Amino acid sequence: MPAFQPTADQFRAFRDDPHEGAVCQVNLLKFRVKALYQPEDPEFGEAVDGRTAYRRYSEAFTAAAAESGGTTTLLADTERYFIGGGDWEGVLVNTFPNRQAFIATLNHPDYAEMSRHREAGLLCQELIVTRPVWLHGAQT
Amino acid sequence: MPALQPTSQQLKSFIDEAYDGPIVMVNLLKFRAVAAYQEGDPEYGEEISGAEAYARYAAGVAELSADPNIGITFVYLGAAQRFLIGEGDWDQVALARYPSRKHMAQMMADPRYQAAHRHRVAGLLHQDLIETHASLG
Repeated sequence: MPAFQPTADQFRAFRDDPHEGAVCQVNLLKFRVKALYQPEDPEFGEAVDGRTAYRRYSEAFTAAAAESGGTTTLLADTERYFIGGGDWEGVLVNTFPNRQAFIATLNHPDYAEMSRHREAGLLCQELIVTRPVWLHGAQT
Repeated sequence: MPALQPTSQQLKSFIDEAYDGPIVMVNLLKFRAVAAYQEGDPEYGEEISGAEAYARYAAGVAELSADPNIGITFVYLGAAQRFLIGEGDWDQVALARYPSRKHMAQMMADPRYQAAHRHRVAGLLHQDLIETHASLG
């Protein structure tokens, strides 16, 4: 069941998890057909699709995450389901040295500014917190 | 809706696709609690988890990464800990990159892949497998 934000319980459970190692955040994304900017946004009325608006968010997020040691492992567009079926249109995977680095990115001074693109572009998503077993062709 | 294999329609549309560039296959995986090897498998009757059986499959596939005709790279494989947004029931996420769909088809036809495949059958309950085109990664 997709959503737009973590619930308070989901956020607490993530934050308080005692596991100290790297985390890889797997975002499964569904975009708005047309971006929905708000009247107070500089982009209000721009005729772009949701994917384009979300791309603006993810590029800014990748830059902010880098300051905490985070990297974007994958940003990709869905072409088709080869097994099973579903409705995800994009996949974004960000790797962080630990969960504090992810939380620091959410608290980055630029985050509030960039999140308007996420809100304009994203219809819903799932975000799976994973622990790396293999990364870039090598066992971790 | 997850499944175990592509339908014939899915297989045909994957093979017939004109795009011949690199692809990243996004695997969302759910394992059996207990591995179910078939009679005839050397491992028949072994009491291991589905995750352990699937790890043998992943190790077998990883060995093929040295073959340039297959060219698979495990961009990422990770164990699901929790859902931070939304809800679902996946145990693992695996991202496999191939230089082209022909490389992946070559892998699936390779006898070494087919030998490792029994571990996938034993360990996997079901999955989604999404073909993606990456702009990063």
